[in-house]
Amino acid sequence: MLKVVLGTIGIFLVVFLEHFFLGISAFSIFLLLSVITWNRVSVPLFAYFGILTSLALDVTLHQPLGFHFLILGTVLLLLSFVGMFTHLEGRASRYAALLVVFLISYFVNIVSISLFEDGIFPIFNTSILLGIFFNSVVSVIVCFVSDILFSSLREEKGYEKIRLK
Amino acid sequence: MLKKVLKTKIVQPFLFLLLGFLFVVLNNVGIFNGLRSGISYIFEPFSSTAMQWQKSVSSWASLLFDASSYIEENRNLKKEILEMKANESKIVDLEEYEALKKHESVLWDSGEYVLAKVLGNSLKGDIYLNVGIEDGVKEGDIVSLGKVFLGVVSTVDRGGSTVRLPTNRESSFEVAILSSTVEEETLLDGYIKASGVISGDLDGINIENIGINSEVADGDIVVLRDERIGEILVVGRVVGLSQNPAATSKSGFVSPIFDYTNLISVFVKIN
Repeated sequence: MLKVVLGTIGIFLVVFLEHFFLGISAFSIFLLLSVITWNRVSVPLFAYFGILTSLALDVTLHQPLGFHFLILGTVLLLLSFVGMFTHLEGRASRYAALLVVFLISYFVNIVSISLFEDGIFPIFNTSILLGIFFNSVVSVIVCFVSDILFSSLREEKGYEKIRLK
Repeated sequence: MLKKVLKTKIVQPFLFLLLGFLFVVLNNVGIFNGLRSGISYIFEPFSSTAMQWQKSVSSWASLLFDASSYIEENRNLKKEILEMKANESKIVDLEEYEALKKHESVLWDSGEYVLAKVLGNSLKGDIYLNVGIEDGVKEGDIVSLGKVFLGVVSTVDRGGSTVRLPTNRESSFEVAILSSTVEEETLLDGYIKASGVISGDLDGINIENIGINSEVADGDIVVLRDERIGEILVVGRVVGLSQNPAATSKSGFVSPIFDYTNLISVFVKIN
């Protein structure tokens, strides 16, 4: 019950932050959180969070319902595919793989928006490409920080379990 | 068994993709209008507030980083407003202006307008407004500011909408080009120098198909004359006209009256 409540609050927070950061630098909190939380939270909670957030973002960004499902599915598929070739739990290889995933995800996001709304392939100029690269690097840095936080939390719990009497 | 399958890593992305395709197809049929309305009612206030905060933060950040250009921009804006008012009066005061219109309608039509706040811009040439279905806005409504054309509503939800600007690559309109010194003309047909077509591009608005023998010059006024819009509205001024004598038509760019990234409030014509 607590997880559901926290998840619901999280959905509102993500919608707020997504609009805030999208306007400032086209940075997607939704993409970032999807990557961070996948396989870290339970499947029902991830599905609850993913589905409701996707629907909310589709409506508030005036995109067709189902658009963010496609983006989410693409990102997770990319992660799974990259995971087949690189060890996602190792340090350097994980972040290199995440950088590639984020770069492709932002690219797919921009192309999909243009194709769905206007039916044309977008033009990528230097500022858009630099923006994609900058956003991907920032996302990887946030993933790095979150990994450190998660591992420090795990260590604390582990300490309690393995303490000898 | 089902739980085990769902927990398998590779299945989850495909489930989301399948759900996505299903929702997109059903959305196009129109089944989800009620659901969209409900979600919009709950989440639009959050998204509008976020966009307004983002605008404040962005403008403060740019002010801090580039104070001197802000002063210069303010000066140029004042000049543009004065110029725009002067140009509007040139077009409005002349009886002959009605010759440009295809229909016998009043110059100042009494259409119903809704005042909308601009929440933000997209990378591909759209602006987001804080008015939607509940305010009477629908797809295809014209957005303007005074007699200046800004765009057409492309998507609309309960409490918000998206407007496609002339800089969007999907935008394409028929236009007429007027002399920049239109009040000096005395002949009816003399006001229209040429007609053309404008289309959006990432870097601005292109204008093409201008007659090669026309006397169009930089600074001439571009007005919309498209039956899909149905009224005469100013788009901007011709700049960067091509000088290639071998070409079969002239082309150039249109400098909009307003900088679309600086819009604060606009009017949406709902009737």
